[in-house]
Parts: sequence; structure tokens; C-alpha cells
Amino acid sequence: MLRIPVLVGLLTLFAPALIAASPVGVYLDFDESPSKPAMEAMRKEASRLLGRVGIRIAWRLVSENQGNEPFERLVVVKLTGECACRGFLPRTRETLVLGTTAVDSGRVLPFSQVRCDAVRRVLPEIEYASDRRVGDAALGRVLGRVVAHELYHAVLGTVHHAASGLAKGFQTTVDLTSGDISFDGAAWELQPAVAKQSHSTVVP
Amino acid sequence: MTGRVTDAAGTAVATAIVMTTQVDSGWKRQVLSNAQGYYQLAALPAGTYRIEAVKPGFKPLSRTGVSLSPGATATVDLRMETAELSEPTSLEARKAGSGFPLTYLKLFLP
Repeated sequence: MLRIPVLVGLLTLFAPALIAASPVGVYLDFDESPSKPAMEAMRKEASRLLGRVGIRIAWRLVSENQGNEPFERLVVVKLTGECACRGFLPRTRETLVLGTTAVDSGRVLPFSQVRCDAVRRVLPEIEYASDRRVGDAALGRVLGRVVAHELYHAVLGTVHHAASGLAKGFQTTVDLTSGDISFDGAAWELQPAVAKQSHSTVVP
Repeated sequence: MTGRVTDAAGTAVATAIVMTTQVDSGWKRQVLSNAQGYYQLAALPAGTYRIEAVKPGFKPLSRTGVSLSPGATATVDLRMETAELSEPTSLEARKAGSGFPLTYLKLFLP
């Protein structure tokens, strides 16, 4: 899954320009009050994964938005359902949609949705964890991967899915709970576009 | 620059992204409308701007030629029209449609 030599090589090539870019403002919106450990783990995992490709995140809450904080780019991520382990959602064998990003007439809009209940239903070992705090942290880590995937679409403005890695359109429970996962080739191909954006936004 | 985002009936549109682009330089700033639909972008450099508001469920709204003088405040209210929503039935249909999700992350059980 990981292609370390490629990753290192491309990081060397593009990282300076990318890391210099201003952070992407990501506004989180919740149906219900989320578990604090789950949200901490989610933000940490998504920041870690996107940080590897030079994208820094400034996390914000829609509920605290005053309408006056400017960003070079921002994305709204709506988390639906209950983002906490409760131990009552039955496991399903269905293929579930875990996250989506809006598109209008072929243009990707910076609005994503992540479905907490769907994640909980496919990961019973997390949903039914004996230690709820541990379960919530594990749930948050998985949610962080789903959020990172959707931000990949929203930030880069692409509908493209990769054949492997976190930019793949279909993930398994193993992908989502493995020790590590990363964006691979397809995401890397888009890096110059991000770098170009950062160069085009010099304050006049 | 300041203003309010509303729908066709004049009701506040919260959580719309207001995107401003200085035409000459390409310099961009974005802000999220608040619960009452208001947005404010302080200390924008003078110049001519293109302003766009986007939110799923609404047609993207664009204003061009918005002029901002040095030290002045421009008020730009944005009235968005509702977009027709439908559920995607195929990838092609999703690509052609408006305002609904296209990019999916699904999960397959091993």
C-alpha cells in the first residue's frame, strides 16, 4: 500500500512549496454533539495524513463561526449521525457510503459529508469496545481517514479516485483500521496543482 | 467587504462559502456566512473583485466587477437561488447533475 521511495522522492520535490501554503480552514458541523476523544483523534489523524502531502488544516466549528475569519481556501465537513461509540448499532454486511463530497455540474464544491453511523456499523470491534474511551478514539481515527479522503476531493477539486491508497474510492475495514495508510500516486500527481495555487495567491 | 447571503425569499443562508478573487492579481480569500447569513472580509486590498457564493442545494452565484476603493467598505448582498436536487443514479448522471454528491468513499467488507 505504501510506496515509501516514491513518497519520499515527491515530498522532497514539492514539500517546500506546499508547506509554505496557508492552512485550509475546515469547518466541522455536527448533527449531534460528538465524543471529545473521537473528535480529537479524528483531527489528529486527518491532519497527519494531509500534512504528509503538504496540506495544513485549521480546524473550526460551524457552531462558532462568526462569518468573519478569512481563509485562502475553506471546506465545510458535515458529520452526520452520532459520532461516538454507543454499542447499539448492529453490524451490517452491506456496502456503505462513508463519506461524500458535493459536485455541481462537474465542479467539486468544498462541502463534504461524513457518516458516523455508517462507520460505526461496519466496525463492531470499535462500536462494542469494552472501554468506550478507547473505542471512541479508534472511531475518531477511522473518521479521520474518511475526512482526509473527502478533503482530498474538496481541496484539490478533483473527482478522481486512485487505484490504491487513501484516494481509492472503495476502502476495506482493513484499510481503515490498519496501522498506517497514505495517499499514493494519484494524489501525488495533483500536487503541482496545489503548489501552483499557493504561488498564485501572493498578497498584492 | 461585507454582506448577507439569502435565498430568493430573503431568508438567511447560513454556512455558504463566499469566495472573493481580486481580478488583477488572482488573490483569493474565502469566508463562511454565519447563522444569520452575514459575512465580513476585513482589510481586503483595493481593487476589482469577483465574488462567488456556493452551497449545495443552491445554484452557485457569481458577481463580477465589484470595486473596492482604498479604506472603503463595500456591501455586497448575495441572493442565491435554490437548485433542483436529485439522487444520483449513475456516475454519468451524477456528473451532469447539480448540487448533489458525486465523490463517494464506500467501504467493502473483506
